[in-house]
Amino acid sequence: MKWRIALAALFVFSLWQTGFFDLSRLSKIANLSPFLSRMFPPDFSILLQVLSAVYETIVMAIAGTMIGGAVSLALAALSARQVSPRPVRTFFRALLALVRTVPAILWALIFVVIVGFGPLAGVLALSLYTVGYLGKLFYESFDSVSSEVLEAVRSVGSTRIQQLRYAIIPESANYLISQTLFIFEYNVRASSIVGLVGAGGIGYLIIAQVQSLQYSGLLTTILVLLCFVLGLDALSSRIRARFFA
Amino acid sequence: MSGCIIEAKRIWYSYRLDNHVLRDVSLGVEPERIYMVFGRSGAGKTTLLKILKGILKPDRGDILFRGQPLHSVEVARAAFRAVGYIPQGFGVVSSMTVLENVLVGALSRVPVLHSILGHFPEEEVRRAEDLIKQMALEEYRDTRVSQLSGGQRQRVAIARALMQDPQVILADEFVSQLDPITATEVLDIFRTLADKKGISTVITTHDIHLATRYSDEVIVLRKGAVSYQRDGKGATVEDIIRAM
Repeated sequence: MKWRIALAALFVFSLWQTGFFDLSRLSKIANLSPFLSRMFPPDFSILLQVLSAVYETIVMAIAGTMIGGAVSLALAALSARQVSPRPVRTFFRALLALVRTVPAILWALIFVVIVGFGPLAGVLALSLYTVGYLGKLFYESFDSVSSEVLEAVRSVGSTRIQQLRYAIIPESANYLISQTLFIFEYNVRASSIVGLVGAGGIGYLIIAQVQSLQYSGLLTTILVLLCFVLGLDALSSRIRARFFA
Repeated sequence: MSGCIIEAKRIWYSYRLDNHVLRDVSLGVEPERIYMVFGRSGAGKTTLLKILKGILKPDRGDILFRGQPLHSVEVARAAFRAVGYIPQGFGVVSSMTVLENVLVGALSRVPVLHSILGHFPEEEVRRAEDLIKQMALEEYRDTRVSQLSGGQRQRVAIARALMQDPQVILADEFVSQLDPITATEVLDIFRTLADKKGISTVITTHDIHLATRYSDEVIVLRKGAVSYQRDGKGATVEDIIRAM
Protein backbone atom coordinates (compact mmCIF):
# COMPACT_ATOMS: atom_id res chain seq x y z
CA MET A 1 0.00 0.00 0.00
CA LYS A 2 2.83 2.39 0.94
CA TRP A 3 4.52 2.05 -2.44
CA ARG A 4 1.23 2.77 -4.24
CA ILE A 5 0.83 6.03 -2.32
CA ALA A 6 4.48 6.89 -3.00
CA LEU A 7 3.99 6.17 -6.73
CA ALA A 8 0.83 8.31 -6.86
CA ALA A 9 2.63 11.11 -5.03
CA LEU A 10 5.54 10.91 -7.45
CA PHE A 11 3.13 11.09 -10.39
CA VAL A 12 1.32 14.17 -9.03
CA PHE A 13 4.65 15.82 -8.17
CA SER A 14 5.95 15.29 -11.73
CA LEU A 15 2.74 16.78 -13.19
CA TRP A 16 3.04 19.80 -10.90
CA GLN A 17 6.73 20.31 -11.76
CA THR A 18 5.94 20.29 -15.47
CA GLY A 19 3.16 22.88 -15.22
CA PHE A 20 0.07 20.65 -15.54
CA PHE A 21 -1.78 22.52 -12.79
CA ASP A 22 -1.05 25.99 -14.17
CA LEU A 23 -4.50 26.84 -15.58
CA SER A 24 -3.34 30.21 -16.94
CA ARG A 25 -1.64 28.28 -19.73
CA LEU A 26 -5.02 27.17 -21.06
CA SER A 27 -5.70 30.77 -22.08
CA LYS A 28 -3.43 30.16 -25.08
CA ILE A 29 -5.62 27.34 -26.38
CA ALA A 30 -7.29 29.86 -28.66
CA ASN A 31 -4.06 29.93 -30.72
CA LEU A 32 -4.85 26.42 -31.90
CA SER A 33 -7.86 27.49 -33.91
CA PRO A 34 -6.08 29.67 -36.56
CA PHE A 35 -3.30 27.09 -36.75
CA LEU A 36 -5.76 24.26 -37.50
CA SER A 37 -7.87 26.37 -39.83
CA ARG A 38 -4.82 27.12 -41.98
CA MET A 39 -4.11 23.38 -42.23
CA PHE A 40 -7.40 22.63 -43.95
CA PRO A 41 -7.92 21.65 -46.63
CA PRO A 42 -4.71 19.70 -47.18
CA ASP A 43 -2.70 20.82 -50.19
CA PHE A 44 -2.46 17.79 -52.47
CA SER A 45 -0.66 19.75 -55.20
CA ILE A 46 2.60 18.98 -53.36
CA LEU A 47 1.92 15.23 -53.22
CA LEU A 48 4.79 14.35 -55.56
CA GLN A 49 7.21 16.40 -53.51
CA VAL A 50 5.99 14.67 -50.33
CA LEU A 51 6.25 11.20 -51.89
CA SER A 52 9.78 11.99 -53.01
CA ALA A 53 10.68 12.98 -49.42
CA VAL A 54 9.03 9.81 -48.07
CA TYR A 55 11.05 7.76 -50.55
CA GLU A 56 14.23 9.46 -49.31
CA THR A 57 13.16 8.72 -45.73
CA ILE A 58 12.62 5.01 -46.48
CA VAL A 59 15.98 4.74 -48.20
CA MET A 60 17.67 6.49 -45.27
CA ALA A 61 15.97 4.20 -42.75
CA ILE A 62 16.87 1.04 -44.71
CA ALA A 63 20.50 2.06 -45.14
CA GLY A 64 20.82 3.27 -41.53
CA THR A 65 19.26 0.10 -40.14
CA MET A 66 21.36 -2.24 -42.28
CA ILE A 67 24.69 -0.50 -41.66
CA GLY A 68 23.87 -0.08 -37.97
CA GLY A 69 22.59 -3.67 -37.69
CA ALA A 70 25.76 -5.16 -39.18
CA VAL A 71 28.03 -3.07 -36.96
CA SER A 72 25.81 -3.88 -33.95
CA LEU A 73 26.20 -7.60 -34.56
CA ALA A 74 29.99 -7.34 -34.50
CA LEU A 75 30.07 -5.04 -31.45
CA ALA A 76 27.51 -7.17 -29.62
CA ALA A 77 29.68 -10.25 -30.15
CA LEU A 78 32.63 -8.35 -28.68
CA SER A 79 30.43 -7.27 -25.74
CA ALA A 80 28.86 -10.67 -25.02
CA ARG A 81 29.77 -12.58 -21.88
CA GLN A 82 29.71 -15.90 -23.73
CA VAL A 83 32.16 -14.76 -26.40
CA SER A 84 34.56 -12.10 -25.12
CA PRO A 85 36.84 -11.97 -22.10
CA ARG A 86 35.93 -9.42 -19.42
CA PRO A 87 38.32 -6.55 -20.35
CA VAL A 88 37.29 -6.68 -24.02
CA ARG A 89 33.58 -6.77 -23.32
CA THR A 90 33.85 -4.01 -20.68
CA PHE A 91 35.50 -1.75 -23.25
CA PHE A 92 32.93 -2.43 -25.97
CA ARG A 93 29.97 -2.13 -23.59
CA ALA A 94 31.28 1.28 -22.53
CA LEU A 95 31.70 2.23 -26.19
CA LEU A 96 28.09 1.26 -26.93
CA ALA A 97 26.91 3.24 -23.91
CA LEU A 98 28.80 6.26 -25.20
CA VAL A 99 27.23 5.94 -28.68
CA ARG A 100 23.80 5.54 -27.06
CA THR A 101 24.21 8.62 -24.89
CA VAL A 102 24.32 10.95 -27.90
CA PRO A 103 20.77 11.57 -29.25
CA ALA A 104 20.05 10.97 -32.95
CA ILE A 105 19.52 14.67 -33.64
CA LEU A 106 22.98 15.49 -32.26
CA TRP A 107 24.56 12.77 -34.41
CA ALA A 108 22.73 14.35 -37.35
CA LEU A 109 24.14 17.78 -36.51
CA ILE A 110 27.65 16.33 -36.27
CA PHE A 111 27.34 14.59 -39.63
CA VAL A 112 25.79 17.64 -41.30
CA VAL A 113 28.94 19.47 -40.22
CA ILE A 114 31.15 16.66 -41.58
CA VAL A 115 29.44 15.69 -44.86
CA GLY A 116 27.04 18.61 -45.40
CA PHE A 117 23.24 18.78 -45.74
CA GLY A 118 21.36 15.84 -47.23
CA PRO A 119 20.45 12.20 -46.71
CA LEU A 120 24.05 10.95 -46.29
CA ALA A 121 24.30 12.80 -42.98
CA GLY A 122 20.95 11.28 -42.02
CA VAL A 123 22.03 7.74 -42.86
CA LEU A 124 25.23 8.10 -40.84
CA ALA A 125 23.31 9.54 -37.87
CA LEU A 126 20.71 6.74 -37.99
CA SER A 127 23.47 4.13 -38.31
CA LEU A 128 25.17 5.31 -35.14
CA TYR A 129 21.89 5.61 -33.30
CA THR A 130 21.05 2.05 -34.38
CA VAL A 131 24.45 0.79 -33.20
CA GLY A 132 23.92 2.29 -29.75
CA TYR A 133 20.59 0.57 -29.20
CA LEU A 134 20.80 -2.63 -31.25
CA GLY A 135 24.31 -3.30 -29.96
CA LYS A 136 23.01 -3.37 -26.39
CA LEU A 137 19.86 -5.37 -27.23
CA PHE A 138 21.91 -7.88 -29.22
CA TYR A 139 24.53 -8.54 -26.55
CA GLU A 140 21.84 -8.90 -23.90
CA SER A 141 20.17 -11.45 -26.14
CA PHE A 142 23.49 -13.27 -26.66
CA ASP A 143 24.00 -13.38 -22.90
CA SER A 144 20.64 -15.02 -22.35
CA VAL A 145 21.20 -17.94 -24.75
CA SER A 146 20.52 -21.28 -23.05
CA SER A 147 23.71 -22.50 -21.42
CA GLU A 148 22.74 -26.05 -22.41
CA VAL A 149 22.83 -25.30 -26.13
CA LEU A 150 26.10 -23.50 -25.72
CA GLU A 151 27.57 -26.34 -23.67
CA ALA A 152 26.47 -28.85 -26.30
CA VAL A 153 28.11 -26.90 -29.14
CA ARG A 154 31.19 -26.18 -27.02
CA SER A 155 31.47 -29.86 -26.13
CA VAL A 156 32.25 -30.84 -29.74
CA GLY A 157 35.50 -28.89 -29.49
CA SER A 158 34.33 -25.77 -31.35
CA THR A 159 36.02 -22.37 -31.14
CA ARG A 160 34.32 -19.28 -29.69
CA ILE A 161 33.58 -17.84 -33.11
CA GLN A 162 32.04 -21.18 -34.16
CA GLN A 163 29.94 -21.13 -30.98
CA LEU A 164 28.78 -17.65 -31.96
CA ARG A 165 27.84 -18.84 -35.46
CA TYR A 166 26.27 -22.19 -34.51
CA ALA A 167 24.73 -21.58 -31.09
CA ILE A 168 24.50 -17.97 -30.02
CA ILE A 169 23.28 -16.28 -33.21
CA PRO A 170 20.83 -19.03 -34.28
CA GLU A 171 19.40 -19.25 -30.77
CA SER A 172 18.92 -15.46 -30.67
CA ALA A 173 17.80 -15.18 -34.31
CA ASN A 174 14.12 -14.51 -33.66
CA TYR A 175 14.90 -11.81 -31.15
CA LEU A 176 17.52 -10.23 -33.43
CA ILE A 177 15.05 -10.07 -36.32
CA SER A 178 12.31 -8.71 -34.09
CA GLN A 179 14.53 -5.98 -32.66
CA THR A 180 15.90 -5.05 -36.09
CA LEU A 181 12.35 -4.64 -37.40
CA PHE A 182 11.52 -2.50 -34.39
CA ILE A 183 14.54 -0.26 -34.88
CA PHE A 184 13.72 0.03 -38.61
CA GLU A 185 10.24 1.31 -37.73
CA TYR A 186 11.85 3.63 -35.22
CA ASN A 187 14.40 4.85 -37.78
CA VAL A 188 11.60 5.79 -40.18
CA ARG A 189 10.20 8.08 -37.49
CA ALA A 190 13.67 9.19 -36.37
CA SER A 191 14.62 10.12 -39.93
CA SER A 192 11.86 12.79 -39.74
CA ILE A 193 13.61 14.19 -36.68
CA VAL A 194 17.15 14.13 -38.07
CA GLY A 195 15.75 15.85 -41.15
CA LEU A 196 14.91 18.85 -38.97
CA VAL A 197 18.61 19.75 -38.85
CA GLY A 198 19.06 19.33 -42.59
CA ALA A 199 19.95 15.66 -42.72
CA GLY A 200 17.50 14.91 -45.55
CA GLY A 201 14.23 12.98 -45.65
CA ILE A 202 10.73 14.07 -44.74
CA GLY A 203 11.89 16.00 -41.68
CA TYR A 204 13.71 18.40 -43.98
CA LEU A 205 10.45 19.00 -45.83
CA ILE A 206 8.47 19.40 -42.58
CA ILE A 207 10.79 22.05 -41.19
CA ALA A 208 10.72 23.92 -44.52
CA GLN A 209 6.90 23.88 -44.47
CA VAL A 210 6.74 25.09 -40.86
CA GLN A 211 9.21 27.89 -41.47
CA SER A 212 7.33 29.09 -44.59
CA LEU A 213 3.93 28.74 -42.80
CA GLN A 214 2.65 26.21 -45.40
CA TYR A 215 0.35 24.47 -42.92
CA SER A 216 -1.92 22.89 -45.56
CA GLY A 217 1.17 21.33 -47.12
CA LEU A 218 2.24 20.22 -43.64
CA LEU A 219 -1.08 18.40 -43.17
CA THR A 220 -0.58 16.60 -46.51
CA THR A 221 2.89 15.55 -45.39
CA ILE A 222 1.56 14.27 -42.06
CA LEU A 223 -1.25 12.31 -43.77
CA VAL A 224 1.16 10.68 -46.21
CA LEU A 225 3.54 9.86 -43.39
CA LEU A 226 0.64 8.36 -41.39
CA CYS A 227 -0.35 6.12 -44.35
CA PHE A 228 3.23 5.03 -44.74
CA VAL A 229 3.70 4.26 -41.03
CA LEU A 230 0.45 2.23 -40.97
CA GLY A 231 1.62 0.30 -44.04
CA LEU A 232 4.97 -0.32 -42.39
CA ASP A 233 3.26 -1.60 -39.22
CA ALA A 234 1.18 -4.02 -41.29
CA LEU A 235 4.26 -5.22 -43.18
CA SER A 236 6.32 -5.79 -40.05
CA SER A 237 3.37 -7.62 -38.43
CA ARG A 238 3.31 -9.98 -41.41
CA ILE A 239 7.06 -10.53 -41.22
CA ARG A 240 6.85 -11.23 -37.48
CA ALA A 241 3.93 -13.61 -38.02
CA ARG A 242 5.95 -15.48 -40.62
CA PHE A 243 9.10 -15.81 -38.52
CA PHE A 244 7.57 -16.25 -35.10
CA ALA A 245 4.43 -18.28 -35.81
CA MET B 1 39.66 -50.39 -14.08
CA SER B 2 42.32 -51.13 -16.69
CA GLY B 3 41.42 -50.48 -20.33
CA CYS B 4 39.21 -47.55 -19.40
CA ILE B 5 38.61 -44.88 -22.00
CA ILE B 6 37.96 -42.29 -19.35
CA GLU B 7 38.28 -42.69 -15.63
CA ALA B 8 37.33 -40.57 -12.64
CA LYS B 9 39.53 -41.25 -9.63
CA ARG B 10 38.43 -40.16 -6.15
CA ILE B 11 36.69 -37.02 -7.38
CA TRP B 12 35.50 -34.29 -5.05
CA TYR B 13 33.58 -31.28 -6.29
CA SER B 14 31.72 -28.37 -4.72
CA TYR B 15 29.96 -25.36 -6.23
CA ARG B 16 30.19 -23.59 -2.86
CA LEU B 17 32.66 -23.98 -0.03
CA ASP B 18 31.94 -26.89 2.34
CA ASN B 19 29.05 -28.11 0.24
CA HIS B 20 30.38 -31.07 -1.68
CA VAL B 21 28.24 -32.18 -4.59
CA LEU B 22 30.58 -35.10 -5.29
CA ARG B 23 32.47 -36.93 -2.55
CA ASP B 24 35.25 -39.32 -3.37
CA VAL B 25 33.58 -40.66 -6.53
CA SER B 26 35.43 -43.10 -8.77
CA LEU B 27 34.14 -44.44 -12.07
CA GLY B 28 35.90 -46.10 -15.00
CA VAL B 29 34.27 -46.15 -18.43
CA GLU B 30 35.34 -49.18 -20.46
CA PRO B 31 34.63 -49.71 -24.16
CA GLU B 32 31.40 -51.34 -25.43
CA ARG B 33 29.42 -50.77 -22.25
CA ILE B 34 26.34 -48.89 -21.14
CA TYR B 35 26.52 -47.29 -17.69
CA MET B 36 23.41 -46.03 -15.96
CA VAL B 37 23.73 -43.53 -13.13
CA PHE B 38 20.83 -43.14 -10.70
CA GLY B 39 20.22 -40.80 -7.83
CA ARG B 40 17.69 -38.37 -6.48
CA SER B 41 17.64 -34.79 -7.76
CA GLY B 42 20.75 -33.05 -6.48
CA ALA B 43 22.65 -36.31 -5.93
CA GLY B 44 25.44 -35.10 -8.26
CA LYS B 45 24.64 -37.00 -11.48
CA THR B 46 24.88 -34.02 -13.85
CA THR B 47 28.00 -32.74 -12.09
CA LEU B 48 29.65 -36.15 -12.52
CA LEU B 49 28.94 -36.10 -16.27
CA LYS B 50 30.25 -32.54 -16.61
CA ILE B 51 33.45 -33.53 -14.84
CA LEU B 52 33.88 -36.60 -17.05
CA LYS B 53 33.37 -34.36 -20.08
CA GLY B 54 35.86 -31.79 -18.83
CA ILE B 55 33.34 -28.94 -18.56
CA LEU B 56 34.00 -28.75 -14.80
CA LYS B 57 37.35 -29.27 -13.09
CA PRO B 58 37.29 -31.40 -9.92
CA ASP B 59 38.43 -29.84 -6.63
CA ARG B 60 40.29 -33.03 -5.78
CA GLY B 61 40.99 -36.27 -7.63
CA ASP B 62 42.00 -37.02 -11.20
CA ILE B 63 40.42 -37.63 -14.56
CA LEU B 64 42.41 -40.00 -16.74
CA PHE B 65 42.04 -40.45 -20.48
CA ARG B 66 43.42 -43.77 -21.70
CA GLY B 67 45.36 -43.96 -18.44
CA GLN B 68 46.89 -40.49 -18.74
CA PRO B 69 45.94 -37.55 -16.51
CA LEU B 70 44.54 -34.49 -18.29
CA HIS B 71 47.46 -32.31 -17.26
CA SER B 72 48.85 -31.73 -20.74
CA VAL B 73 46.89 -29.72 -23.30
CA GLU B 74 47.17 -32.51 -25.89
CA VAL B 75 45.67 -35.18 -23.61
CA ALA B 76 42.95 -32.81 -22.41
CA ARG B 77 42.08 -31.92 -26.01
CA ALA B 78 42.07 -35.56 -27.11
CA ALA B 79 39.80 -36.45 -24.18
CA PHE B 80 37.48 -33.54 -24.92
CA ARG B 81 37.06 -34.74 -28.51
CA ALA B 82 36.70 -38.41 -27.58
CA VAL B 83 33.85 -37.76 -25.19
CA GLY B 84 30.50 -36.68 -26.63
CA TYR B 85 28.06 -34.88 -24.35
CA ILE B 86 24.30 -34.56 -24.63
CA PRO B 87 22.84 -32.20 -21.99
CA GLN B 88 19.46 -32.65 -20.35
CA GLY B 89 17.48 -30.61 -22.88
CA PHE B 90 19.54 -32.21 -25.72
CA GLY B 91 21.19 -28.84 -26.59
CA VAL B 92 19.96 -28.87 -30.17
CA VAL B 93 19.58 -25.51 -31.91
CA SER B 94 15.90 -25.28 -32.75
CA SER B 95 16.20 -22.65 -35.49
CA MET B 96 18.68 -24.79 -37.48
CA THR B 97 17.85 -27.77 -39.66
CA VAL B 98 18.56 -31.38 -38.72
CA LEU B 99 21.54 -31.47 -41.11
CA GLU B 100 23.02 -28.25 -39.72
CA ASN B 101 22.67 -29.54 -36.16
CA VAL B 102 24.40 -32.80 -37.01
CA LEU B 103 27.20 -30.98 -38.84
CA VAL B 104 27.92 -29.08 -35.61
CA GLY B 105 29.53 -32.33 -34.45
CA ALA B 106 32.22 -31.88 -37.12
CA LEU B 107 33.20 -28.33 -36.14
CA SER B 108 36.52 -29.29 -34.57
CA ARG B 109 37.64 -30.89 -37.86
CA VAL B 110 36.58 -28.12 -40.23
CA PRO B 111 38.64 -24.93 -40.79
CA VAL B 112 37.04 -22.11 -38.80
CA LEU B 113 36.52 -19.76 -41.76
CA HIS B 114 34.85 -22.50 -43.85
CA SER B 115 32.54 -23.44 -41.00
CA ILE B 116 31.60 -19.79 -40.39
CA LEU B 117 30.57 -19.52 -44.04
CA GLY B 118 28.64 -22.77 -43.70
CA HIS B 119 30.95 -24.67 -46.07
CA PHE B 120 31.53 -28.21 -44.85
CA PRO B 121 33.63 -30.71 -46.85
CA GLU B 122 31.62 -33.16 -48.98
CA GLU B 123 32.73 -36.13 -46.90
CA GLU B 124 31.48 -34.48 -43.69
CA VAL B 125 28.11 -33.75 -45.29
CA ARG B 126 27.88 -37.37 -46.53
CA ARG B 127 28.75 -38.64 -43.08
CA ALA B 128 26.12 -36.41 -41.48
CA GLU B 129 23.56 -37.68 -44.00
CA ASP B 130 24.49 -41.29 -43.17
CA LEU B 131 23.99 -40.62 -39.47
CA ILE B 132 20.67 -38.90 -40.15
CA LYS B 133 19.65 -42.03 -42.07
CA GLN B 134 20.80 -44.31 -39.26
CA MET B 135 18.62 -42.29 -36.88
CA ALA B 136 15.67 -42.69 -39.29
CA LEU B 137 15.46 -38.94 -39.80
CA GLU B 138 16.22 -38.75 -43.53
CA GLU B 139 12.86 -37.23 -44.41
CA TYR B 140 13.58 -34.42 -41.92
CA ARG B 141 17.09 -33.61 -43.22
CA ASP B 142 16.17 -30.01 -44.08
CA THR B 143 13.49 -29.53 -41.43
CA ARG B 144 14.03 -27.10 -38.60
CA VAL B 145 14.50 -28.90 -35.31
CA SER B 146 11.78 -26.72 -33.74
CA GLN B 147 9.28 -28.70 -35.83
CA LEU B 148 10.38 -32.12 -34.53
CA SER B 149 9.01 -34.19 -31.66
CA GLY B 150 10.97 -34.81 -28.46
CA GLY B 151 12.09 -38.27 -29.58
CA GLN B 152 13.24 -36.96 -32.95
CA ARG B 153 15.20 -34.14 -31.33
CA GLN B 154 16.86 -36.70 -29.14
CA ARG B 155 17.97 -38.66 -32.19
CA VAL B 156 19.33 -35.43 -33.70
CA ALA B 157 21.37 -34.99 -30.52
CA ILE B 158 22.69 -38.56 -30.78
CA ALA B 159 23.63 -38.04 -34.45
CA ARG B 160 25.44 -34.81 -33.56
CA ALA B 161 27.35 -36.57 -30.77
CA LEU B 162 28.26 -39.42 -33.16
CA MET B 163 29.41 -36.92 -35.78
CA GLN B 164 32.07 -35.93 -33.28
CA ASP B 165 33.44 -39.48 -33.62
CA PRO B 166 33.38 -40.17 -29.88
CA GLN B 167 34.53 -43.19 -27.92
CA VAL B 168 32.11 -42.38 -25.09
CA ILE B 169 28.79 -40.54 -25.07
CA LEU B 170 27.57 -38.91 -21.87
CA ALA B 171 23.81 -38.38 -21.88
CA ASP B 172 22.15 -36.44 -19.07
CA GLU B 173 18.58 -37.47 -18.10
CA PHE B 174 18.27 -38.88 -21.55
CA VAL B 175 15.27 -41.18 -21.43
CA SER B 176 13.48 -39.70 -18.45
CA GLN B 177 11.30 -37.38 -20.54
CA LEU B 178 10.25 -39.98 -23.12
CA ASP B 179 7.34 -42.35 -23.39
CA PRO B 180 8.36 -46.00 -22.78
CA ILE B 181 8.33 -46.98 -26.48
CA THR B 182 10.51 -44.07 -27.63
CA ALA B 183 12.81 -44.58 -24.63
CA THR B 184 13.24 -48.24 -25.64
CA GLU B 185 14.05 -47.18 -29.23
CA VAL B 186 16.68 -44.71 -28.01
CA LEU B 187 18.27 -47.25 -25.67
CA ASP B 188 18.31 -49.77 -28.55
CA ILE B 189 20.39 -47.26 -30.49
CA PHE B 190 22.90 -47.02 -27.64
CA ARG B 191 22.99 -50.82 -27.32
CA THR B 192 23.78 -51.14 -31.04
CA LEU B 193 26.47 -48.44 -30.78
CA ALA B 194 28.10 -50.28 -27.88
CA ASP B 195 27.91 -53.73 -29.51
CA LYS B 196 28.83 -52.82 -33.09
CA LYS B 197 31.04 -49.74 -32.75
CA GLY B 198 32.39 -50.11 -29.23
CA ILE B 199 31.03 -46.69 -28.22
CA SER B 200 30.24 -46.62 -24.52
CA THR B 201 27.47 -44.58 -23.02
CA VAL B 202 26.99 -43.11 -19.56
CA ILE B 203 23.35 -42.20 -19.01
CA THR B 204 21.80 -40.54 -15.99
CA THR B 205 18.15 -41.41 -15.57
CA HIS B 206 15.28 -41.96 -13.18
CA ASP B 207 13.74 -44.84 -15.14
CA ILE B 208 14.94 -47.80 -13.11
CA HIS B 209 12.94 -50.51 -14.91
CA LEU B 210 14.26 -49.64 -18.36
CA ALA B 211 17.74 -49.07 -17.06
CA THR B 212 18.13 -52.48 -15.47
CA ARG B 213 17.22 -54.03 -18.83
CA TYR B 214 19.81 -52.11 -20.82
CA SER B 215 22.69 -51.32 -18.51
CA ASP B 216 25.96 -53.20 -18.25
CA GLU B 217 26.74 -51.38 -15.06
CA VAL B 218 24.58 -49.53 -12.56
CA ILE B 219 25.86 -46.76 -10.31
CA VAL B 220 23.76 -45.08 -7.65
CA LEU B 221 24.76 -41.73 -6.19
CA ARG B 222 23.45 -40.61 -2.83
CA LYS B 223 24.36 -37.15 -1.56
CA GLY B 224 27.32 -37.04 -3.89
CA ALA B 225 28.83 -40.40 -2.99
CA VAL B 226 28.58 -43.76 -4.74
CA SER B 227 26.16 -45.81 -2.65
CA TYR B 228 25.76 -48.75 -5.03
CA GLN B 229 27.69 -50.07 -8.01
CA ARG B 230 26.99 -53.37 -9.69
CA ASP B 231 26.85 -55.00 -13.12
CA GLY B 232 23.52 -54.53 -14.85
CA LYS B 233 22.42 -58.14 -14.70
CA GLY B 234 22.93 -58.40 -10.98
CA ALA B 235 21.25 -55.09 -10.11
CA THR B 236 17.68 -55.23 -8.91
CA VAL B 237 15.10 -52.47 -8.80
CA GLU B 238 14.73 -52.93 -5.04
CA ASP B 239 18.47 -52.58 -4.43
CA ILE B 240 18.66 -49.44 -6.55
CA ILE B 241 15.71 -47.83 -4.78
CA ARG B 242 17.18 -48.72 -1.42
CA ALA B 243 20.55 -47.23 -2.40
CA MET B 244 19.00 -43.94 -3.57
